[in-house]
Amino acid sequence: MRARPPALGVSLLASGLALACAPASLELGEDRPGGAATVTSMLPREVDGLTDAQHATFVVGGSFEQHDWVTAPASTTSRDGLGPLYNATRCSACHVNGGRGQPADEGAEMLSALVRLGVPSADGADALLPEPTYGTQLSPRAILGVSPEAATRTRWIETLGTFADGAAYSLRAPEIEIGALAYGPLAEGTQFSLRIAQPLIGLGLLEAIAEEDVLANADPDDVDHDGVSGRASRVWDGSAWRLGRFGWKASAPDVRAQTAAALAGDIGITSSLAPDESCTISQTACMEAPRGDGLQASDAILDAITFYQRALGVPARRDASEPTVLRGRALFHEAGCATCHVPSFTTGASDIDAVAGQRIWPYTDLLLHHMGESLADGSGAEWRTPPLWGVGLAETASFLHDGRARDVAEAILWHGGEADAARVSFRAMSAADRDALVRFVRSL
Amino acid sequence: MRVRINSGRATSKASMRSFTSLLVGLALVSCAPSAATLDDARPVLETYASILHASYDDAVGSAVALRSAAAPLYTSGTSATGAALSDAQQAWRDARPSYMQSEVGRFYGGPIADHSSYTNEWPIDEAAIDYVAGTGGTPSFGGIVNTPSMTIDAATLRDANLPAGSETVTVGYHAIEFLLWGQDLRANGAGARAYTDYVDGMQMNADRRRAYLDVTTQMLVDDLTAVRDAWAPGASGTYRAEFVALDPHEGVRRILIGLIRLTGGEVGDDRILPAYTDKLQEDEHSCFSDNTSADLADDVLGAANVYYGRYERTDGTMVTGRGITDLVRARDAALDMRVRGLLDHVLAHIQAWPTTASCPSPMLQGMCPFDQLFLGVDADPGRMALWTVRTELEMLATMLRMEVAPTLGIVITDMDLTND
Repeated sequence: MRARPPALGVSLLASGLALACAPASLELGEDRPGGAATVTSMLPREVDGLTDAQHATFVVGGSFEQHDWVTAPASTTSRDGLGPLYNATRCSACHVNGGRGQPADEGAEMLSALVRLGVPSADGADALLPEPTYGTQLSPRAILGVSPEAATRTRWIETLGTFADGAAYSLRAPEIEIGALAYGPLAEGTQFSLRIAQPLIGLGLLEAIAEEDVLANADPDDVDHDGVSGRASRVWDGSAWRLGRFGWKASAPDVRAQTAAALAGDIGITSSLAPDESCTISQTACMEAPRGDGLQASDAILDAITFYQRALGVPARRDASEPTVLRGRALFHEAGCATCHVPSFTTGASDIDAVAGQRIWPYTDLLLHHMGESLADGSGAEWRTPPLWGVGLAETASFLHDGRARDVAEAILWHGGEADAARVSFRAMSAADRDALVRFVRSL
Repeated sequence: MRVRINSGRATSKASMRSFTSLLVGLALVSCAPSAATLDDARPVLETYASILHASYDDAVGSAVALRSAAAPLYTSGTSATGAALSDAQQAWRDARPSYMQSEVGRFYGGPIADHSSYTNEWPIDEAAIDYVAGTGGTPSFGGIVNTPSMTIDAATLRDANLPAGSETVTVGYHAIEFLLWGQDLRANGAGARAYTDYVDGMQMNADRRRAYLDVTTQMLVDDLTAVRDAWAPGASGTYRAEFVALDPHEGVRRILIGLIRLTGGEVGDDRILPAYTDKLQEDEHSCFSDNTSADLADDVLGAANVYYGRYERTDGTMVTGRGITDLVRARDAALDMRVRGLLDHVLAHIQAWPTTASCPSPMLQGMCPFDQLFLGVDADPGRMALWTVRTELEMLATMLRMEVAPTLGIVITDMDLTND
């Protein structure tokens, strides 16, 4: 059975109960959220203890993560095949220092954010179909001789609000601006979703959590009536149904699948898992552009890029034992945040020693939750609980799927749906308590 | 080559493995009463500035010479000859050593930081420049050269190389290399572009190819000149003036960052390991000319220049002065001996690697081309030579970060070893 903190009403009455599920002092290892895969660095770093061969693979993967892909056919045959349509020329353009992307400033062209597209299917199924001409996402860039699909920009709409104590805040929501559509109008009823790149740290650890441990927290019908359901994403990997773990919608079962999808969708690099270029039939120049020989990312390269990410450690926590941070930790549990941002798991087997059998502190349940209408977009209102480790290290804070939240407090204030009670609880806190909670999150 | 998490690990595995324990060591050093003072470092900063200035000055001179040698190719539709193309190719090779030796100054936000994406970016997008072999051997006549609607001038090409993350790399040494050699499509040997590519009526868009060569060689001269001038002595308000007046710890820290990143992350990891691991023949920086072996040797020579405080100019004259070696020797002579021993070893090894007797293709400038060295099995001389150099570079980077830096009272952070 799933262990949950007490229901909100109860915990507000008796904070002692909250302390019961969140000990006042740190648990052993809680300040090292990746276990043996924790790194003493503010930046993404290789975990300790890789074999020489694994280290070489890590370096090779890093090289392909950080260098540009170029137009095919090129002499550098291992690095060609860019586009024809693309968002960026390399992974690290958006995952800067292995971190998160940012939404574009008002009026600027998007780089580390992108616009997903879809049209409702005739049979009314939940899943959207690709937009017939533009596919599943807009590519604002293209190789020479092929027209970029569109110019994508963002406008920000500010809304004022107040905390219960009267302090003011302002939240911004994006408005997507699409211009210069090169292949005709978008289909009627096209749905849009703005997304930023997610951080790459600790992915090997999340992948090594046993499926049953994730499923133990799922409660799709909310049988325990706590207002929080939590649905496991099930994805077909070509041979079996598996738990979806990665991406804003938990649509990829493992790092390799997520990587292949990003290579194909964002850079236009094909691989054995994503063998097709993202051109649609009406995009003639895209269809006819040279491809180079075979798959653009060989399995060896796809595997190296995958391994690179799986072997990136998680930064150690900062200030974990400070009294304010510890108080924030209690408030975090008290407000019910830990229901979905599940603090800890123990990983199973892994080919990476530092990743196997570790008590880790990712603060996610890897499940999908309805997050309310204000966070809903064309792709629906369900979002995967993002891990919170490393949040405080984001150089430029841009949280939530579209990067609308400029700090942790804004991110919490956007929570709705299943997480509405947590938001209400946060909004009702004193300024000191809000600050303590935010400091706790930023210490992760 | 700007974003380099290189990563994931700062310099080397060994350094990461011992990172935690060394942090403790560093703390002890900085608290101890014997904390290193660097009163003797001022001349080292001066020598370093003089070495970089001379390296860039030689790079400018050789880039100007490259432009002159290439002039018959771009000045008229009838002046190109096979001899002119050969001369230009040799001038390109001659332009490399000074620039490669300057790369040790590339990694801490110095003057080159604003220009390196226009000088030595890799990989270049050759198909965005000119025709390439298409599928099945049919040339694919694309690229800016073969797109008459596109303007060929410096402003347009600079724009195409921005912004980082969605750029098309179409300028710099490697773009010029492609214009002079064409694609390296042969298993053994460099690219084989014909001089007729620059002759009207002999190849499509010869006029635009001439313009492209003209513009990119001039851009190279311009970028290098700007960097050289920032290191020029005797002027106020330059980077050099600021640099030599820095707190010595900060100045030496920048020098060490350059040494550590060049030897460990850049040459050892990024430029050798992917090629070695995947045996991808053209995963090498100077892939059109097969000049990579010489390039890498000059990179390491640049590190040795800075450590020893000396640089042999293109004309044979010497720039000498106090080097990092003097600072280290005064504090820990045994450590200095070990660094010099390792540095001399790796330099000897990287300069000698290509003399391997079993080179499968013709030697170039006395060296076996890099793209031949890493083929075969691990026990082959070429691969063993590469592995030796790579391992020694990693050890050197670790020694510089974990022993030399603390000895001089300097902490090199992970952030120091990350982005340009």
